[in-house]
Amino acid sequence: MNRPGALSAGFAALSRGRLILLLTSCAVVLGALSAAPLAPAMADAFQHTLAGDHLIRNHPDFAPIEALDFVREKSAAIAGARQSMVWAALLGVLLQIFFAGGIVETLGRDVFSVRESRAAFWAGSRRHFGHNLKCFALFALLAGIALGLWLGLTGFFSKTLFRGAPPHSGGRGVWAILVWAVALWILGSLTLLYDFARAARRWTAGIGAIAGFRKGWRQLRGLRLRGLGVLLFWSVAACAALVIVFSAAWAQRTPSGPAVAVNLALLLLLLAVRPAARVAAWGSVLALFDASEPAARRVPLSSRRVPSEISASGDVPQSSGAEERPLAERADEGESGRDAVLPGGPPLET
Amino acid sequence: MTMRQTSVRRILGSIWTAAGLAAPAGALAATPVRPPVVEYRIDARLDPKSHVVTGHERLVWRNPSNDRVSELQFHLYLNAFKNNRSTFMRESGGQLRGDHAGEKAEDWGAIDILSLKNEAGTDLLGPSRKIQPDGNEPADETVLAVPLPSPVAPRGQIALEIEFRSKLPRIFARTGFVRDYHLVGQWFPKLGVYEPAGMRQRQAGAWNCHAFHANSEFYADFGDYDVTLNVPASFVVGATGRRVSDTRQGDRTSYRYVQENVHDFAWTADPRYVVHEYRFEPSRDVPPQWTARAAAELGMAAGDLALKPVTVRLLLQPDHLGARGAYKEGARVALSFYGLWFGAYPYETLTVVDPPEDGLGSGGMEYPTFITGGTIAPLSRWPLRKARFTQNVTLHEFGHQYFYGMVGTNEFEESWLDEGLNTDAEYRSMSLAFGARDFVELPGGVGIGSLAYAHGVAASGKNLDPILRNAWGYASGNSYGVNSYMKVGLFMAQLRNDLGPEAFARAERAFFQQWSFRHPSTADFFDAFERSTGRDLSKYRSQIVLGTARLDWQVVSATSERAPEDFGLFDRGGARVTLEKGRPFGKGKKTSRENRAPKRWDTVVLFANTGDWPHGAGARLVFEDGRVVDRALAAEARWVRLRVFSTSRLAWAAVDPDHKNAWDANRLNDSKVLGVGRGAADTHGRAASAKYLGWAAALAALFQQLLWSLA
Repeated sequence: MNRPGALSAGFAALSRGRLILLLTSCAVVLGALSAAPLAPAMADAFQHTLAGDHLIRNHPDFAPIEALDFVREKSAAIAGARQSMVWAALLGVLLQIFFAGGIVETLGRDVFSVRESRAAFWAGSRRHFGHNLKCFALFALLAGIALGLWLGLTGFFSKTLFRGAPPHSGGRGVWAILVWAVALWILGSLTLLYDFARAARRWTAGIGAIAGFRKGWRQLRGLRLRGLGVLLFWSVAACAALVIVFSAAWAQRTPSGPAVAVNLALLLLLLAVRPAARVAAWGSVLALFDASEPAARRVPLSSRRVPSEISASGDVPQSSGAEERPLAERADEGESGRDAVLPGGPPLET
Repeated sequence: MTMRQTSVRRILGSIWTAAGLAAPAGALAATPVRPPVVEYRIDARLDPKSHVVTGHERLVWRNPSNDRVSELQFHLYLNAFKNNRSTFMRESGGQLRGDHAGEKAEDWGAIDILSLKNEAGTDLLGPSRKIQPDGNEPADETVLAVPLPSPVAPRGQIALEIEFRSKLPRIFARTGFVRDYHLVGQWFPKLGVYEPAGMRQRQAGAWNCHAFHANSEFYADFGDYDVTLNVPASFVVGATGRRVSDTRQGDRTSYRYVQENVHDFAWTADPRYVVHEYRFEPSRDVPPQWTARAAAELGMAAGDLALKPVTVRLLLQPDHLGARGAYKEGARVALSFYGLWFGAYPYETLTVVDPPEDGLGSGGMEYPTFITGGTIAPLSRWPLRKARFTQNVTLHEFGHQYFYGMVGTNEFEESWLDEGLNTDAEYRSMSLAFGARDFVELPGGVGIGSLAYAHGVAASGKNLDPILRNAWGYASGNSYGVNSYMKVGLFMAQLRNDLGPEAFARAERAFFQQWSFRHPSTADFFDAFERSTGRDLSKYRSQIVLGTARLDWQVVSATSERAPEDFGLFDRGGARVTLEKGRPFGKGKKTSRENRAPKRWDTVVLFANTGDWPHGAGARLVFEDGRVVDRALAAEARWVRLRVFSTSRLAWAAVDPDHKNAWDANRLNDSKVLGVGRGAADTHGRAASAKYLGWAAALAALFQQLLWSLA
């Protein structure tokens, strides 16, 4: 059987509605926590005065003045929201690192049921959290060094190169495009490497972070352009979706309660865009990773030992049920079915 | 204008006011003083490599007083950029409005007088000395005092020959160079103003020649300028006045510019300029409805408001060609509005300079018939196309042709009279041309008007200074800005709302017409307004312009509760009825439609002015059945309690519901919403609270997601 292409795998990953919902819920909860300090201020300023009415009707004269007065009079609440936003963002980063373990564990893998998938997801999240945290530290270090060096050096050179050049001169424009294109390429390449390092746990349990990066580096040979293309595709798609939904929410008039409800629904949709794009990107990246992994090491999830905590009644049988790919298919890939179930693939540690 | 003319105007004004008539706004327009107080004839040569201007200046000064003047005082403005010990640099710390002075050798600027002689050839440079008239930095070299061998007789004159050399600084604080772009302002030895006794309430005649301070601008006498500029032939030149000749000599060209009745001369040279020259034609460019409105407000015939064509020369940077329309729009609105409401622009030319983005420190500046705008490339593109910074700055700087250019106020001492009055006119013209969201309009119907912006900035300030103060006497640069610009915009809006647009427009035009080509003071401003309107404006002057009074009317509390039923003895229908508490229809009486007491609501609203400026306000109570009660709150009242018994519950109460009090510091406390119903159904406070909280959460989450993309 032919393995799906990277983009197809990404689109297939979009069917993981619960996963997208989980990530979106995190965003919503953390966003709501960030904005919580504003709630009493907004109730005081908008709910019990005409200012809210002016704002929601977008009164051309009164609304801007009252909005500015809100910013000034409720500056303490705004400062509180800003602080909680930063902490929520950091918490969110940790959650993303945590969920990456579950994603790597389950996305694009054969499973028996939703229940098993869910259990495997949480187990994977827990199991790989330490690994992913180390990978993140390495990625941040590498990205900081590489981007810092690149932007620092080009900044230094551009000062001397364009000392006498007027702003917006052709040379400056080309140079700026070049600098930022290379910076994006560096970031994209490192992101791909980072994702591969995390995905290394998919088939090789216990692999360390540095070994994961090494392994990812090796496996990316010949795949970098495809990988970058896939990341670019999902990034552009996400940006386009964000712009469309944001514009719709921004432009929508809200003269009534139901209209406000619709507006809030649009905001929820807006927050779902990034999780959906990230899950899709993960699907594509993992498909690339799987394709580069020797088939001998690729073991369907359902054929591996299931973590004890999800199997209270005992181990799930090493089933050769419907979800397990038939031997003939494995033979198509040049591997023997026997090899595929040999413990060359990593047993899932519990 | 002589003192006698002033007296005549005062008498005429009193007669008009006594007769209860508005003074005809266009009457008795002032004419320039001839012969002028100063005449400058300058030959200047620019070396674009060293950024040095060498020049010869022939100066004639006519003593406008009855004093014998034994000393001249010159501004040497460029010495503000000579080192870090100048008053300007000490006060500014080397930065002005976000622009930083360079610190490399070529970045400093200075002006050196090489020779200074009178007509007899006597050297006057030797005995001259740098002075610090404001008790400012001892090392400051921006004012030169020149003792004369013999005093200038009353109404007499003196002619001087001056050789000078001006090294331009790297663009900073309005002037200088960057690459080949040169904006040459405050560049030649320039006389201060000799103020005779009586002028600007002065007791005795003396020189008014301040040091160049960080926050101050300029002050000079009206005169005639005849300036020849010699530059490399590849350079495009723009300057104050009209070009009367250009002569090519090898690889250089000399341009001669002439302008009468102005008090400064600035110029620019840059080989990259793209020149766009066009003619402002009133018949085509002035909207007829504006003319009608101006005529109605001013009480004049539309024909009396006729404007003159003007040649507009726009010098654009090649990367700002997209901003051409914005500049033209700003100039068109400005020429139309100021011309209609104050008087036709009297000069033949207007030069608009578009500085490069690395030379924006020279942007947003006014000189006679010559202004610098400012733009950045993104402002010509979506979504910022309607962020009208380019139009705004063009309009504002043009407005200075009136309040600074023609009404020659002392910007050192009374900056509000030029910046502030011009800011008010700018707000009005922006609003007239672009509607309520005149300042910034973004896609999705979001935007802000000039007055709202001014309110936001002014209310956020610390209110440490009054509007009127020496420019260097404000607590900070920010306080100078807020008091000279935004607060005056709000004060004038308050005055306009209180006086009515007609009386206000006529008074302001009268002030402009009376003081064109003169040097008025704050007292002269209020004098003109009081004579025109017949109103006592002393509380505005003493508490707002000379004080820091604040106005903040608010709804402190609002309750609307069911009034208790009647109980006790009542004479109803010719009989005495006993109503017991809890038995409102009487003991043993049947309930009937006739004796059923109507439901009544006891509404109490407490309004208060927590500011210290006693000024009245309107109050409005709207009930759930749609009934509206309007009341006036007295100016002297610290608080007012309104109690209303009604058949309906209060929906909302508001003070100053139409925002007539532009001086009110806080709009958020101007209302209380209580109920729902017909009157209140129009309010959506709950929905607004939910919506904006949702947006705050969503924006926070989007920011967080941006970070998560790295994880």
